Amino acid sequence: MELLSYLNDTSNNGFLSLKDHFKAMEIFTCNFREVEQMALENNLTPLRYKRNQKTISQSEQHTLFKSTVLVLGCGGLGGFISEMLCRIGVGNLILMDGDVFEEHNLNRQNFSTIKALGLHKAEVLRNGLEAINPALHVKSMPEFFTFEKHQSLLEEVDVVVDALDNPTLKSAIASLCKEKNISFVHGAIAGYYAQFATCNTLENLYKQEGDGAEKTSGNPAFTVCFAASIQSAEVIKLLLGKPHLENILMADLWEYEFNLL
Amino acid sequence: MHIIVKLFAQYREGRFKVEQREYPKGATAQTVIDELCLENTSPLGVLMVRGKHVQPTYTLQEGDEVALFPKVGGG
Repeated sequence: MELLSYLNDTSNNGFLSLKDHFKAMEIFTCNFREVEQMALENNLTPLRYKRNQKTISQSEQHTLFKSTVLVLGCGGLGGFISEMLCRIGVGNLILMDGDVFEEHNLNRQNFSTIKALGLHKAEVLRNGLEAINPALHVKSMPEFFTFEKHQSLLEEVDVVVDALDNPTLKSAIASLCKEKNISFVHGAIAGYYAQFATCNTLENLYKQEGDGAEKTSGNPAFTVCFAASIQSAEVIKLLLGKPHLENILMADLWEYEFNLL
Repeated sequence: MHIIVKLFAQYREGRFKVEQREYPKGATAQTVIDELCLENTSPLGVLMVRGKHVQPTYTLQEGDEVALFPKVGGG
């Protein structure tokens, strides 16, 4: 019996359970990703994606599976964005950050635990994401972004996510992505406030070099999660060819004000 | 000159959300920033006049509406 006919026989109303995945891996000596790929290519949906429907259709689920997203920065924003993209089913994630987890990250950063202190964020995230969804390709790059080393990587992915904490670097990467027509999702936070821009330069947000209000207002967990959600929504919209943010969005979680500039 | 000044986020703390204020002829957006000591709170992020992004050197005109947001860079 072929893998596909086995999956068709064992699926329930078009959904394939984890148990079915593992059985298929055993019978056909293949890996988890190969089973998921075969399923999605043939109109079957892994049960884990059931609650994505109908926000995400079966064919869109397959599109996400074939997509590659580069997440620059694995701290506050990057940790939650990576998990959301992993859970929703983006098939290939590249996580880049040269930092290790430190004690002052524990207030907000996803996957930061006492045991993870001192370990590379990118690697801790990769392990965490693989435990959530073994079908996905997750590559960790425990290094800092430089144009000399990583510019070509930007051109190899479907979407670049800005989860960095350095306005000068954020702005430089945004400009390069705009010039080369690479999809780019910007987000930044400070205290109760956040800002977003998609496929846009950041020159109107960052006029001068240096840090912003986050140095005095800090980075509370709720603003981080909120901003990561908006950025994840933008990534999914870009990957699926849906309308996305055209203007700068400024968000205020103190007054609950949202301004499109 | 009558100028409407709108402040956002941390710039509102100890100041106001929106006020009509008086500035001398020839005043620039930077005059507003300096007068309100905004950069003691945070470096400048977005600066708009009448809904358009401008530089701090922009010379204000009677009736202008100036919007100022702090710089936001955390990740």
